[in-house]
Amino acid sequence: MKKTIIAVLMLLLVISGCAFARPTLSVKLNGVTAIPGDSLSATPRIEIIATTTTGPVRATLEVGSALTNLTFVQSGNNYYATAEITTALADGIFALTIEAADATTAEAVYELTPLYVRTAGDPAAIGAPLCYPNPFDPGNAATPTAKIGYTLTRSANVTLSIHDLAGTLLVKQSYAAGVNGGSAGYNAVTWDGRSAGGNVAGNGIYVYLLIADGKLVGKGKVTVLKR
Amino acid sequence: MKLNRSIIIFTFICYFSLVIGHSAFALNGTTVDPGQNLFAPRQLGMGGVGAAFGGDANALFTNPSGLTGIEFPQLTSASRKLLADETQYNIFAWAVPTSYGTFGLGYAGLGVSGSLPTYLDPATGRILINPSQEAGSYDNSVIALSYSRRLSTFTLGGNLKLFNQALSGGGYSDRGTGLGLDLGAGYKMNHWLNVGANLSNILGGSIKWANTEDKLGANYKLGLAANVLGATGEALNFNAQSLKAGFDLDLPVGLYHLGLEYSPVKNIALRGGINQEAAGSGLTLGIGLTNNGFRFDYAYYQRPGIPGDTPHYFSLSYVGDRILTYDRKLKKKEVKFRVLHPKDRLITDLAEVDLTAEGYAELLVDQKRTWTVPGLSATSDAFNVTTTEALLAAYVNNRPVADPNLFTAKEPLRDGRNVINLLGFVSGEAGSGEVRVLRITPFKDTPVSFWAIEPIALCGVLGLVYGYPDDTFKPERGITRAELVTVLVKTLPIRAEELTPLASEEIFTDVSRKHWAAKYIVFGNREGYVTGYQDGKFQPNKVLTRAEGIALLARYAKLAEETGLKEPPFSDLKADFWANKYIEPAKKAGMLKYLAGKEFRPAEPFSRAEACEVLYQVPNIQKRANEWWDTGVVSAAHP
Repeated sequence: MKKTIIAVLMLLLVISGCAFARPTLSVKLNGVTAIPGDSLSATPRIEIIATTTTGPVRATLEVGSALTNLTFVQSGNNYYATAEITTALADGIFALTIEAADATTAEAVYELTPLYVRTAGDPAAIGAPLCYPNPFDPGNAATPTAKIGYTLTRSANVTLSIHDLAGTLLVKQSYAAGVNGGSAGYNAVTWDGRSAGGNVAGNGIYVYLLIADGKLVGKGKVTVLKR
Repeated sequence: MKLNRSIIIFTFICYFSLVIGHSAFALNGTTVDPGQNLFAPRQLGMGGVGAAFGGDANALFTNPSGLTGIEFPQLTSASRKLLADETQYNIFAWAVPTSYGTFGLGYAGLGVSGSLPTYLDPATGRILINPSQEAGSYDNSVIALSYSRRLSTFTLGGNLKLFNQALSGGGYSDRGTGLGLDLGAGYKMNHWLNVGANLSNILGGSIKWANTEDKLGANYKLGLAANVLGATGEALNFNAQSLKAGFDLDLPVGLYHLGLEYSPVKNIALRGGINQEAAGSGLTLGIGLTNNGFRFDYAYYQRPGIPGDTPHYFSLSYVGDRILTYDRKLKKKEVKFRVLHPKDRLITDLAEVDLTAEGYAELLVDQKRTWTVPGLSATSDAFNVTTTEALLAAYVNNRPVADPNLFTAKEPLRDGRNVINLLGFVSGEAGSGEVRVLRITPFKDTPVSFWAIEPIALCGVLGLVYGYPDDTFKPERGITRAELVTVLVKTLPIRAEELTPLASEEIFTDVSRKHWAAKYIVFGNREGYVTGYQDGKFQPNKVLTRAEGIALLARYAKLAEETGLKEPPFSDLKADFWANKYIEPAKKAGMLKYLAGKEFRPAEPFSRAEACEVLYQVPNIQKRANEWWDTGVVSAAHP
């Protein structure tokens, strides 16, 4: 008798679990997985991926007070939607909320806050620019390039210059405002460990400067160590 | 021709530089040589020029041959943060000139720390700091041993460099070492233009790590330096100012440096220039202040491509200086007068004379000069120096003058010797001077402008000669044997009682004891001044020829006879002329000055004026004349 009761309870539990499964949501802002405290451009591009076995997916996006119905494109169990905010957001603190439901009407909620929109004032970097891997071996096939990541308060024309210890310029990479490297929020750019003349940097530490709209907003160091 | 040689040598330097430099460039490495980026304020203030500038310890890094230009041991150092305060830069250079060349020791170092270890956040793909690992640090330094030497207008120098690099952090530690060689040369093309070339890491070289090898970057500089105002500022010579201009070209990358250094005075240097580096060009400004052997340098330079970088560069150097000091002690102070008119011992017939004179005090100073090189050495010498000082007051014959330093006065003269006394005062001292004037009433035929007025007047004063009753002297009249021997004997310090008895000795048939010159002739004969003729006669009234007169006076002056002369003393005399042995020593003794440039004409009558002139030159007579000028007393004269 006891065994029968346990089996029935387990069956009910499985049935109820299937009935309340929710879609999982993955959100990127301007191609980057955002985290609370990120900067948001005034006209962000938001990419949503909803994953469920019981499509279709319906969802709404709310940024500030603007509510947008999202339209998904299915690819297997993944449903893709892209929203572009064309009406520029005013400077301020925003919350991004996505509510999604699949065919079972089970709902998933994704909320990201705070997000900062800053268009006035000089651009700045939030935190120190960091390089990965560090130390960096340009000759390592697994990591032939180093990634340098930084978060900008707003979009800006950005120059990343890499110098030896005496300050001599090895290479300079420029990024336009709004594209990766010059976007508000997190940016990640790469360096191949070479000078502008194509020479591989020798062992040592190199300093990179992050210059946004002509102003130094961040600096960091990368160790080059060939093993 | 000289210019062509200079061009050939300069071309050789360029070619040498290009060949070596190009081969070095082929090995261009990827690690940094701390000595190639010189952030010394003097050089930086001039836009980074240095290849042709010497005379500074920092030349060890810009062109070691330039160390030959230093005069004293020099020490310089600088330390600061670079690259927006991310890296530490230290430089030190020491150079010592010796007789074997200039030796130097240099150090340049770069260091950094805080290279953060990271990992990728799998959730966001973002780079995060790995707090479990230690941050990385890196030191890159070079020690340079330098030697340079001057070879005529060339200078050559070189550095042997030892590189040391260390890299460490969480989970890794590595060390790299290597050797490098610099060669530098300079050539002084002319007095205002120098050229220089510096070949840094000419052999390439590398830093060897545990698992890899990094090439050292070669770099060579070609430079010009010009003294725009000339080698010693002679083009605009005041305040010992100088203006130097320089131009450097870094090859093979093709960066240029342009700079000026202007020194309005010795201890101040104002600098400016344009410095080009890989990130762009920038203006530089600088100043150098030297005091007591130490120099402080400052440069302002905003590096292109590094916004927010601190643009201020400082350094302190010991450059040495030779400081000259004087220690003067007054040894003697003497009041003096320089009489511009009349000359001392003026002979005039005027009743007054215009006096013009300068008064001053002559200071004899015992002066010691000391050259001190602060902290190193001191050398000195001592000698006497004469300077002058203005008089406070002056008097002419006890009458004060308005300007004691330059004054005039009219002074009355009486017949005979006149002395104009001058008296001057200066702080702590008094002194006097005098001018002597002989006022005469000249004979009718010997005015004061007569060529032999001085000997005639002085011989008259000394009582040796007299005029004729008609107030003439008849200077051109030939003097007789009796007259001349009388004059000569009168010059001797003989008492009358010794001389008078001689008149009774009749040794010549034509000179009776009553002859007016008998005693003088006898005495003159006894002394060997004159002799008689073979017929026993003296011929006292015979006029002397010039040769006879000079011979007589030479014997009187006791001049040694000169025989065996190869050349006659005068062109019109024959070599075997009998009187040459008297004429030659008389000429050498200065007794025949009045015949200088003339023929001797030995047979000419020996005039009274000539007799006075020649007699006046005899030392004995000169001495008596001087005594008279000094005292106004005629001494040792025969009545």
